[in-house]
Amino acid sequence: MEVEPATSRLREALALISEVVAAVAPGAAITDLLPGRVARSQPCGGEARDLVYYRVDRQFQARDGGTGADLVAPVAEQFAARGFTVRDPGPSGGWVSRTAVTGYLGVTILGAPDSPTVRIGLDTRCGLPAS
Amino acid sequence: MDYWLLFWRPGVGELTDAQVAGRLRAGDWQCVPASDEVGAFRRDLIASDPEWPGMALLPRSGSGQPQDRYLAVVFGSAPAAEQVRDLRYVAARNRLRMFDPQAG
Repeated sequence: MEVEPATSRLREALALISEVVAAVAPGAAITDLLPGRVARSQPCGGEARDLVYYRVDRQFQARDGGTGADLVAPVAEQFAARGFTVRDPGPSGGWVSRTAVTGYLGVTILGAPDSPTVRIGLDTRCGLPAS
Repeated sequence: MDYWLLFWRPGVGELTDAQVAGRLRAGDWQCVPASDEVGAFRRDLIASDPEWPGMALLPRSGSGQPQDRYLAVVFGSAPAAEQVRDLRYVAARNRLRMFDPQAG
């Protein structure tokens, strides 16, 4: 099987995040939380141990006094409507969280009850290091 | 006085967070499980700020101590609330427990 670069779906994924944010918080600005970076550990274990995946973290602010925690479920629903399988891993370090996955992307959505910030972490499918 | 924040993978059994933190501070790193997520967490932190002003990551690279068990982020003074919130996010992203020994 031919293996794609880990970044091959990245542009599409970032556009998807923009769509989702526009749907739940129209006009909200999306900013970088952490720079995009190559990662090499889980989920590239086992037979895929020589591959890498790509991580990106974005954030936006809830409006009108809402909290990040309030928007986690609506953001997850937007991903579900686009074919992602959504899971609730339970509270994590005081954050409300959901995960959403397709065959080539994994998304972690986190929001805190004491902050308007919603944070979306994106992991691409394991693939070849970007050239 | 240094300000410590500790991170490890949950699932330590019967120990409370404070007990785990005490053991880690005493050098008993075997009380927490090995975890690939700890390495991912370290990499994410370094990606977020390679300069690390006012912070240190323990155990240090090359210290000879296994680095896949836990990570301590040590500040020269109490970190700002936003800084702690960011660390809590990166920890949650990597499915790690964050514990503040100063807060108990």
